[in-house]
Amino acid sequence: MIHFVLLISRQGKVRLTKWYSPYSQKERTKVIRELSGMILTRAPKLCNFVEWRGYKVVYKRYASLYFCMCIDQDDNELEVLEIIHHFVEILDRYFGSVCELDLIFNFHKLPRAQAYYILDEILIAGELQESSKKTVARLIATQDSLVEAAKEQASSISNMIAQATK
Amino acid sequence: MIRAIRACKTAAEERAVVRKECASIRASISENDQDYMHRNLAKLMFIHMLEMARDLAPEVERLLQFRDPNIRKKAALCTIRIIKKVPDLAENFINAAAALLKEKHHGVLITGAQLCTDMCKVSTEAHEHFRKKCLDGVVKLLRDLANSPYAPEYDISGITDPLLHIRLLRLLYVLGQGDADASDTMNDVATKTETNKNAGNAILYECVATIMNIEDNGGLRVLAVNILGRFLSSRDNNIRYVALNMLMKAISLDSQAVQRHRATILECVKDPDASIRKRALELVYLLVNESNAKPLTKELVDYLEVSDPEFKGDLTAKICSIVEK
Repeated sequence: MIHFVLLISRQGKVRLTKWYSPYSQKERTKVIRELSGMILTRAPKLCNFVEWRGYKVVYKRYASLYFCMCIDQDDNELEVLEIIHHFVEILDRYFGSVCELDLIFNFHKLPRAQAYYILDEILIAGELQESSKKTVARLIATQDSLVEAAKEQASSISNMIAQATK
Repeated sequence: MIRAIRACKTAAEERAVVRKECASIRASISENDQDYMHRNLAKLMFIHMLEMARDLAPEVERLLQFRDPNIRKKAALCTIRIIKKVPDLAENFINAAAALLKEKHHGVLITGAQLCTDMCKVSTEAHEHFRKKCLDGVVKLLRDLANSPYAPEYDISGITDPLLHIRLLRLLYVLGQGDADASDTMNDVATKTETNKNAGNAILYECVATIMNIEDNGGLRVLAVNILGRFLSSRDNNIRYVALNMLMKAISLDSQAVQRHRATILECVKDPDASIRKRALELVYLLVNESNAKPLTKELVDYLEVSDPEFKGDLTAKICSIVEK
């Protein structure tokens, strides 16, 4: 299974983290520090796997972002590369053309939350759950419309309150 | 909810909050509340981490037969968490899990295959059951998938849903011991899969792993070792890495075949990439026997003089233990 997912920028800033196994806050910062030290210093063209504390970390660089996933010793590394690519493609479709800024601050939507929702539709509990990009896109779209509907409802309620108190 | 739990000061208070959450989840499951279903399942998973699995297992079992496939796949993953926590609950889920393998929806199939694989690990009874009842189905699924025409929705670089391919192969890894049909299909997959893209190689790699595990005679084994040989001479570092990795497993089955690649493996010890170096060194260590100890050690000692400072420690340690052997 996948133990955690990290997105690190080339400067070592963490853009997204998702933990599927229990780690305390202290361990998390330590893990991030160790891994970013290891991964960011690796030259390009080397293989995309790093062995670390009895696990393997599979990473891949897209533009200025490193996508890292930590897996068990006997999992299929090439498959994880494929999962990362799958995730990136879905992000890409959702944001138009994905760049780091989209993940830091997505203008008209909740900052960063969107990337987490998308990840949640692909991986749950450290296991892959969906291989179809269309299905994921559809599910996210439904969620978005739910959020919109809830917002409208909230604003109409506040309008009503405002009118009643006028 | 998580915030509420974190805010609790005593264990008793925490338990009360969790119990209340459980009750509300239970209520919404029985009300068939579509929109919040996803969120509730996420909450369920969190509760399993808090070891309340036993209480909600029947609800999850019901959800495995739910109408919406997206719920079914989430419920399947939820079940994985449950049986990991409480292995003796696995028996209750056998039938529901087997039913998941008959689905059409790829998401459900992926999670279903994963669930069955994990169940086999914790329960021998489940293993027996799946072996008897589902093996044919899985083999057929794999064959259909391998021969399926172009499907844009699941296509990754010309292959239909490699991720599902891999899940099914992994299930065969535990189930397919000595099954002729399974071997046939794997032969198909191994020979037909495209090898110039990562997705194809991922499938081949999984296929080799499965062959190594379930096949105990000739033909396919040779095919598998040949694939590894091809991987090893690949220019792509990732592929070389996984080949070295797999050869370590192959060595206990067929050391002769691995010995043939000795020269290439020795080259890999001198690779600029630390990950590959480490794998190759461990493999060389396993390769050493009475007849080849001398030349191999000489080769390693020669390399010691020019290697990276960081790598020297590892290398020396391994040479020492070879000498001791």
